[in-house]
Amino acid sequence: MIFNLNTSKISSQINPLFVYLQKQKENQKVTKLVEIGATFFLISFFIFFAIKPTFLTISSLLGDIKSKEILSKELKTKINDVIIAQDLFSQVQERYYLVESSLPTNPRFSQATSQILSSSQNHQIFFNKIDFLMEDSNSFSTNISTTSSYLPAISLVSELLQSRRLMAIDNFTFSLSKNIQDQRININLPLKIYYWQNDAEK
Amino acid sequence: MRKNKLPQFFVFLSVCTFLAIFFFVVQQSYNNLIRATAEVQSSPLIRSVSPDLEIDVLDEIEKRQEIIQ
Repeated sequence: MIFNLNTSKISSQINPLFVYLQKQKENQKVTKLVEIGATFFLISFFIFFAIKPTFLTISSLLGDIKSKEILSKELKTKINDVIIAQDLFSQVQERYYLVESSLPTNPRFSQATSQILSSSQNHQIFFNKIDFLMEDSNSFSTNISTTSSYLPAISLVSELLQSRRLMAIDNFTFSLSKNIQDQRININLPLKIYYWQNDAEK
Repeated sequence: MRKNKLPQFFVFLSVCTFLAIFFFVVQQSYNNLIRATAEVQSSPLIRSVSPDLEIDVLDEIEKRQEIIQ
């Protein structure tokens, strides 16, 4: 009976101590968690305000260096290609007039007119007038409307397509004339004549 | 006894913030690194020039007749 009384007395004295220890342990845990959280927040703050600008500057500088290296390499290749092209061009420069006569840098209406007239006269095809119509910055057009026999008309088309000056015939029309005994046909021949305007001239 | 969850939430929030900022910085840095190179590669300055002249065309043009009155 005495023993039981002593035990309950001791227990009632020790119990607050256990509660206190338990609270202390929990407080320590909370303190540790707060420390960890605060550490992560501080690191985040440090990363955002100190490391981020440095890293962004370094990465953009590295990117610039890399892009300049690529640019330098590509431009060296391009310069070498231009030098090779210049050498090749100097070898064929005396034949450049051929390009100029085929695809001149300006419309050169007189050349086109003389080419068309010569070809048509070669095949005994005659017409009164020739009009040129500017289409775009690289071509102009004209239309040949006259009467002729069939074979000379075909020969004219063939010769115009084979002429040195670049011409395109998208379509043409041959139709019988009203007087069938005449054995002549009406020709309608639209021509598109090209030239190459330099960008600098534009 | 009711357990206080605030410290755990605080740690969770700080870790998430840290990760978000970390990946944001990494992504921005990578973007800066790549952007300059991509801009250069799409630039018309580095469009290649072929040095091969088609000289055969000149022969073909020469074969064609230039009829002048």
